[in-house]
Amino acid sequence: MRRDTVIQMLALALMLGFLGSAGFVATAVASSAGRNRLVYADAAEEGDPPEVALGIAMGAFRGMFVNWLWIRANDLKEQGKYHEAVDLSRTITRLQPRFPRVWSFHAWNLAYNISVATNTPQERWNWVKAGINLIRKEGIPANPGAIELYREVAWIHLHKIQAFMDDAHNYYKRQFAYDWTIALGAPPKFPKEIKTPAERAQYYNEHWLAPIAAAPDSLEELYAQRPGAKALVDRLRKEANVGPDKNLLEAIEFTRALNRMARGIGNTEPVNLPGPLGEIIADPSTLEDGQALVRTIRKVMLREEYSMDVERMMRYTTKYGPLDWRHASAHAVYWSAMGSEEALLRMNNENKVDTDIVNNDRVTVQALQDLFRTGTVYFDILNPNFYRQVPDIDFVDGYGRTMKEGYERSKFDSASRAYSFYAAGYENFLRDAIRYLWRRGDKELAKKYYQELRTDVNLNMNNPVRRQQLTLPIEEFVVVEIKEGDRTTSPVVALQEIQGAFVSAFTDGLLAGNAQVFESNMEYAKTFHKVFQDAQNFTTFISGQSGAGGRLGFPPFNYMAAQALAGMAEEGGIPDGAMMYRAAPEELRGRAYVFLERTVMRQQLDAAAAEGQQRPFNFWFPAPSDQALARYRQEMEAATRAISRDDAGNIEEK
Amino acid sequence: MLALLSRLNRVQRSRWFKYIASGLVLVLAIGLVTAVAINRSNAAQDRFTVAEPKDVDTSKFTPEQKQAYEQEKSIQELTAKAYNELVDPRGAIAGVAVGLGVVTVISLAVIWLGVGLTSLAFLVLLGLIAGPMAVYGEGRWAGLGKFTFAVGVLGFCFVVLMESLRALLSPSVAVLAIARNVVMEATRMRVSIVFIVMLMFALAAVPGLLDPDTPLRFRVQNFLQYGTGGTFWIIAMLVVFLSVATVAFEQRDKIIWQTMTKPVAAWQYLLGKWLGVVSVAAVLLAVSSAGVFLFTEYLRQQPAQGEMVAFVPKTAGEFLTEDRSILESQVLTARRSVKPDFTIDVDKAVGEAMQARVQAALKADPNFKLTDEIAQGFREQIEREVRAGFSSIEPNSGREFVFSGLKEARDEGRFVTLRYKADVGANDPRTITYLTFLFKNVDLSRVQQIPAGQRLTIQAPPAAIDPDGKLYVWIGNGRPINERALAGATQTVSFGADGLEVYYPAGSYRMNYLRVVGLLWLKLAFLAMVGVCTATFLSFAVAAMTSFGVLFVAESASFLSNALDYYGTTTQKGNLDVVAFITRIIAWPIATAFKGYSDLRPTTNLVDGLLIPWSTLVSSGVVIGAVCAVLFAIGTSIFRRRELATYSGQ
Repeated sequence: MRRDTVIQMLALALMLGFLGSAGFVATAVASSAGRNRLVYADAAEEGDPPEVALGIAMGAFRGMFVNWLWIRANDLKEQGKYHEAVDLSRTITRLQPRFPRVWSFHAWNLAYNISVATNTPQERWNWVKAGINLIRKEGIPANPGAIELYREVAWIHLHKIQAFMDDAHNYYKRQFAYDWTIALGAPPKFPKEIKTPAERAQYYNEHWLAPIAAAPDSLEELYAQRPGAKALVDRLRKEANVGPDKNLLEAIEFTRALNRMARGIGNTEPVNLPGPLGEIIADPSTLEDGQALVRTIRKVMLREEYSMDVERMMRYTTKYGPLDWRHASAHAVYWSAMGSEEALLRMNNENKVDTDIVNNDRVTVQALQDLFRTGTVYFDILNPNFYRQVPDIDFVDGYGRTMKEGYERSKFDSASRAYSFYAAGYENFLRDAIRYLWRRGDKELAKKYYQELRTDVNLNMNNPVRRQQLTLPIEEFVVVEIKEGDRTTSPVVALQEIQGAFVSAFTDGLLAGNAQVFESNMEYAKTFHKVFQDAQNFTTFISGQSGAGGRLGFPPFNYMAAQALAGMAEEGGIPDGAMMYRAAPEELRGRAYVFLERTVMRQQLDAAAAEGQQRPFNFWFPAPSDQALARYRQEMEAATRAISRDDAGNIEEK
Repeated sequence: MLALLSRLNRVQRSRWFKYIASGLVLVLAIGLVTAVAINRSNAAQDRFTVAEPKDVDTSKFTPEQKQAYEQEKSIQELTAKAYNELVDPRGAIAGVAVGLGVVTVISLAVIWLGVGLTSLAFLVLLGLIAGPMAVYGEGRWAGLGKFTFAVGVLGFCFVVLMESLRALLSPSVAVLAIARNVVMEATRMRVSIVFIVMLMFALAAVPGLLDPDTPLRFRVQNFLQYGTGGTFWIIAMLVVFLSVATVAFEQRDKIIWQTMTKPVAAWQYLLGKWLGVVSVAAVLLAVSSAGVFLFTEYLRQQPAQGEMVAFVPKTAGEFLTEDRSILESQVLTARRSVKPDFTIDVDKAVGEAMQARVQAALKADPNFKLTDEIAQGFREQIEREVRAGFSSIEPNSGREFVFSGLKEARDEGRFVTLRYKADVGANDPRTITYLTFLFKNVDLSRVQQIPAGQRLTIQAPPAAIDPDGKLYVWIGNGRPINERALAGATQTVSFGADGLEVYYPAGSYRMNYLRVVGLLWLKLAFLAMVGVCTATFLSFAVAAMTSFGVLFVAESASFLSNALDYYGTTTQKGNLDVVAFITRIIAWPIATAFKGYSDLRPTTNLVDGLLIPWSTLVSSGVVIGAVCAVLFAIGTSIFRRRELATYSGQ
């Protein structure tokens, strides 16, 4: 055989051998890549950014390029060069859109790492929102079955915004409430005859969410149904330079808030914003078209800006309780619950191992727990610095049901185990609930849950000491819980206890004329405040700027009490709020006046008084003496003022 | 109409017209700059002052109180001065001056080239096409209009400057004639046209890629990064292709015979080629740099996050927004850095630790003998530990760090920036760590929640610096629970060798930008020489591959050098890894050879607001000049020996 022929045959044999082994290896590599979701976009779809096409064009070099991007993005982040790190992260998500961890990693980077590198609450909030939006608007649509993305976005809501770990958490909560007041409008107030959680949930659905759900899906659809709406939009653009967008909703909410305030003080005349926009809003001929327009804008905004479905929001309200969508934990519930549902739809025996539904359910449970502790939001768009969260007992049952649901789905929990994490959490939760309800005066409800704590078959059996405590009468049980419990250092529990005590003191004490209830609840709040403050208080520069007195620490007790009384008096309006205020002790009343005198309610009352329609503000809320008032003002301002060097003069702008 | 145009053309080419028009342009430019300067100077009253408190009677102060009062007042005044520096409207004069300067230069070039009518017609046409889209269009149409306008203006400036360059290279000198041919080639060769067009389009497109929702400082940094860095890469690739092609193709196509049969020495030929390429690079760099500079000045006048208009915060009582403050003090500036003074007596610390170490060794082994070699080893190890320990802080404790050499910053009333990177254990991202910072002399304290392993900054006013130029910063590992104690920390925090620095402004951003452009041009000049010299003896393809290889290796030498620090040549069992060893042998000299070039990083320094001193520019010029001279000598030597008649056409 000639030498060349031999070489050719050898080369052919090698080629066939390599092709064969490549076939085996390629199959194994492809299945591993698929299993670990290390896949790249390999086909450009309509709407994909140009980087996707560039990535596909790179072919085999794409992996190297993406690796380089990852290394570089991480290096830049560690060097503090966020401008480029953020850009590179965006590029990575475009080259690896089907890899869920890419999205969750970068969103977490934005919301946690990059945000804390900034020094103002405003900029931190922008980064937190950027992290949420990255997953909500891009990550989840690209990976609708990726449960980790739902968990991540729920966690950011629950941990970053709602919890206390970030110095700027107060700012986040207020801004979140502000944004969602604009997006959905303020929630309707429950009539007195609505008492149970189910009734309240239904009320929210019927009067808050259902009108939005029934609106057309787009503005074009609305215009087709209502030509008057189109004419209204044209008029808004022409006369007020406002389009059918967030700015219009903001103006609407301000108008509504002003009118709510006016009604609260007995003024029946409508209040309008100044200028052409106010005139258009006030024009009765635009009422129906205007309402339809607002509902449609809300529906479109929910879908396009927040990627949320109002029908699902209604379903979760029915399932879990009257969710106040101005509260970040409500959104944590939404996203985690949605994640579990989407995952269950796609779960089968092959991918069951990879679907971490347990941790996702835990986020739902934690969010509901938080809603019990803080789910009632007091927020007024007219006074955005005034924000309070107080406990909401409507979520106790919802927590229990959800806990049981998660328990049944969990592969780590079973009836044969003596201990379960779910059960441990539920037990602690019920203890807090019983203590709160008992002290607040809901004794029947407290007894009901105490009975459940004693008899629920799913609760843990591993701690005989704790089981023995449950044999105590409920009165003694509550005392033991307060004195010996380890919950005093938890800010959420502390806030729940303090705020709950204030609510009881002012409504059941002052308003009902029961001095003993008032005294005992105020004493309880003071004790809890002191114990907590001693353990936790310090000031960071971020929280110092926001006037909260510390990341975990609360403002001074007198400040909190005065603010709570002022808030409840404003909420109560005339005459309940005024009665509550007048019944308060002199010092508390004087401090509360410092807050009340700055409210819009005061302006409205005085304006109405000037027109002879109403008594003036100081009639309903008598001021303390000038000397005392000056002292109270100084005291309240000192509680929140940042350190300054005004002894040697202040820097001021010309 | 044609007759009129012909007459106008004759007029514009006449000498008297050129003199008068040039004079008018210069007078107008100087007048405008002067008017802007006067206007800004009049507006430059200090925006921030220190208001005297009305209820403080200093005449009743004791001497100690008076001293404290004066000290406090001085602090306030220094801080107000620092704010005024940041918002000084006179800074905008430079932007206007550069813009007018660019327009003046282009106008003069147009006048003296005699292409006024053509230019006017082009600009009018551009305005008619792009103007309506940019002004009246919405969304993509407005973007397209602005993009078209930017491409048109950039292209126009490039063409005018290239023509001017040709005119400048017109004297009858061999080197200049060859250079002029290269300039003409640059606008004829397809490969260079592609890059030039790519550059114009890319530069015009960069502003559109900026996300308006991100902070202004990020947008400026991104624009500087992509505008300057991207420009450099495109021009670098053009330089490589052009320098290789202009020599290699002439040899391949026998065009070189026409040149070399004339009395043109080999060195003149190569020098002319190199000069032509670097001149084209200079024109492209000038056009793109001017564009980047002017757009950056424009961006600077946009409202930052939290501002109503530029330099005016939305929130009443706020002096400057954080975005604006960082932009002016940390980005659009030229800063130097100082590391903390090493305040530990190393010898004493080593001496004390040595005794303990020797005692411990004797306890472990009674037969232990302290030899010189062992003692030296102990000493080196202890010194490393002492130095590492200096920048480490135990949980719930603190230490004071002193930074010297900041007198200039205090005297000129400039904010300084403490930049730190804290490593906590394994830098677990789930760990929450708090650091407490206290700055002496001012009432500035920070308790910051930090992500481990990430660089963060704190701005400090000039009053924090002592009159002798020292800044004292006490850093605590933990949160303060009262005035004396920290709590909450569980792990040691370490700053490492470069984890603590203070940056202070040492120059103006605009002059820094000029130096950056100078450095970029030097790098391009080096690449041009590599291309020209490799093409003397290699084919186009091989020479281009070699030159690109040099470009990529040179630019990534720093990365390679850092990577080699972690690249081991032994296996886990301690045996020699032959492949890794050979790789290291190849990579190490390459990384070392080009490390100086790679470490220059002008774009990175510009984006980070770091100073590039004149000394760096001069020394880089000397070194790169020397390397170019060596390469030139090698290339000339090869070229002289080359049998062109034999190799041409192959």
